Amino acid sequence: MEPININSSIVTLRDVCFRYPSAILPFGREWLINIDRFSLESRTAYSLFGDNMTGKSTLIQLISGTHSSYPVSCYRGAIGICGSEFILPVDSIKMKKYGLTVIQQSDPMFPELSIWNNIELGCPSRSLHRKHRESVMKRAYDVLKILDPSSNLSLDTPLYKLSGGGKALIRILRATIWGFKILLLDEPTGNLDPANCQQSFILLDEMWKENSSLLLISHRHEDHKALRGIATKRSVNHLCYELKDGNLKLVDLEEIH
Amino acid sequence: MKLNKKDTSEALRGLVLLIIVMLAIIIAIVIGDARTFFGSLKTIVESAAPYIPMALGVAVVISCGEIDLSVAGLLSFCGMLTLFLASLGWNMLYVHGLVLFLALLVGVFIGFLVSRWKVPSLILTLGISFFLFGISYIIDHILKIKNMRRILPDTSIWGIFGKWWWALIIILIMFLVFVRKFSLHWKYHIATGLDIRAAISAALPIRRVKFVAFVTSSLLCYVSAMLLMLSYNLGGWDVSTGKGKELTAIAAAVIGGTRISGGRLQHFNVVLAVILWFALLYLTDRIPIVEPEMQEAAIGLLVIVVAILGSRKSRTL
Repeated sequence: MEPININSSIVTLRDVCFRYPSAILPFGREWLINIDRFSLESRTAYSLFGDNMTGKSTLIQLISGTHSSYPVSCYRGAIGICGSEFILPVDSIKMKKYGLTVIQQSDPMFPELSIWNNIELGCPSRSLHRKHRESVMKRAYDVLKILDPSSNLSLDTPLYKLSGGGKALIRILRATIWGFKILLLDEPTGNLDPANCQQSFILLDEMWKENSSLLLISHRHEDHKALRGIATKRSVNHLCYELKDGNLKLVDLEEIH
Repeated sequence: MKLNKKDTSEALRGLVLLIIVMLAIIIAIVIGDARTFFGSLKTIVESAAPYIPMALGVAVVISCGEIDLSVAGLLSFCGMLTLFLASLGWNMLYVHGLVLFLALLVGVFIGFLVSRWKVPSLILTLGISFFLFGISYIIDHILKIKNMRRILPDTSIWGIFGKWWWALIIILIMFLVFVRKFSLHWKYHIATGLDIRAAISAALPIRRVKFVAFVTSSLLCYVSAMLLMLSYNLGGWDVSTGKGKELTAIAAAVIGGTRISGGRLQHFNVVLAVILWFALLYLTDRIPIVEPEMQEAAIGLLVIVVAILGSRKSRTL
């Protein structure tokens, strides 16, 4: 296998394989996920498609290290991030420190804590928190006002007072406001109405810095179109992949229905 | 300064605890044989003081969603080992250094097993408590055989706290309040206690949080042991000194507003709860009709009431 130049990409997957313990896969496949080589470049937006049970969410959890721990025999391969390479399974805290953040639809938050406390907990390091606390607080307040100018929301408002849509926006804010190199989104709009979906993409557009990269999993075609819209507006690449039989295949957005 | 709802409820709980302490003293004066208000308060606070660091340590562990029952055994072990080494004629600086090191080692050991190997803290710390009591009994046996002294020597560096113990307690509380107010680690701590799944999902350093909590608890338990030794100097230290005190610490932590499932800790109120605990003991001691068995029943009743009130509040959330 050719070595990958991990310095040219933000994230690289090398010979990444995963299977659930004692799971039986169709057609005698050994691995649920079996990716030879794949890299996520900077200044690129990725759309990831695939049927249910193909392992899209598992892939995101593998990259971010947020999945449950399984026996070592369930994993193979390595993930490179910003010049460093880690054997699977990777540590979520380490990946977060490298600027990899993940948003999942079912991500639980802390409803008893305030909006600001929830945002603070998304901070990848104490030094970053010390340096940028005040500026991030101000930005979070400004973003809240942009999203809902008429509301009386403040950063001290407990999270449980927000609607499901509001919580989803805070989830995105928490993951992005401290800055990121790569953002993995696993059906972030799955339980949102169209208005809140639109708000989510406005927020993503607001928080996305051009040199970072973004990967979106969604069954909603409109979400991928919205992502393409943001990418076009910012003159960054937009690539679509389909996860099929454990491997990633480049596809055209218009071909996917 | 504007107080938010959480601060207000904390202050209110503190006020209620303080009022109950005062009521207990007043009742002890009116019905019992207690003499002056401030004299009684001084006696209560002095007897409660050695247990304050231990209760705070246990509360720290509870607030991150774990439990530490090892403090009872550790308290006894720290005391017995200090006496033993002092009786052998060791320099007290080395004695304190070694005992502190071993106490921290116990915290590190528990912290490692709970955070890395996910060993249930309830069983693990219970086992460690029994183990440390066992070691303490062995030391006690040797002390008996060799007819050694059971009081802290005058050369002990803890002697300076004989008069100034309250300064140590204030410094300790101030430090914990500072950590609570300004440290991001404390936010991780509370978040881990609130919801472990959410903490995993947010990639919070859960292992570090739990590890630090257990080491803190062991460190504070060592401080308690040393303060307790000072107060026991006249009567001598016994191996069973710490027995059952882990339950006192847990009860004080809960009465002081620590949520037993984790996610909340009110330092000042834990301190007040320990004082309240000893105020109730003082009260029942001073009332002739109260049998010793009734002391425990009264305190048990108080814990039950607090637990019911606490769960009622969380149900309405």
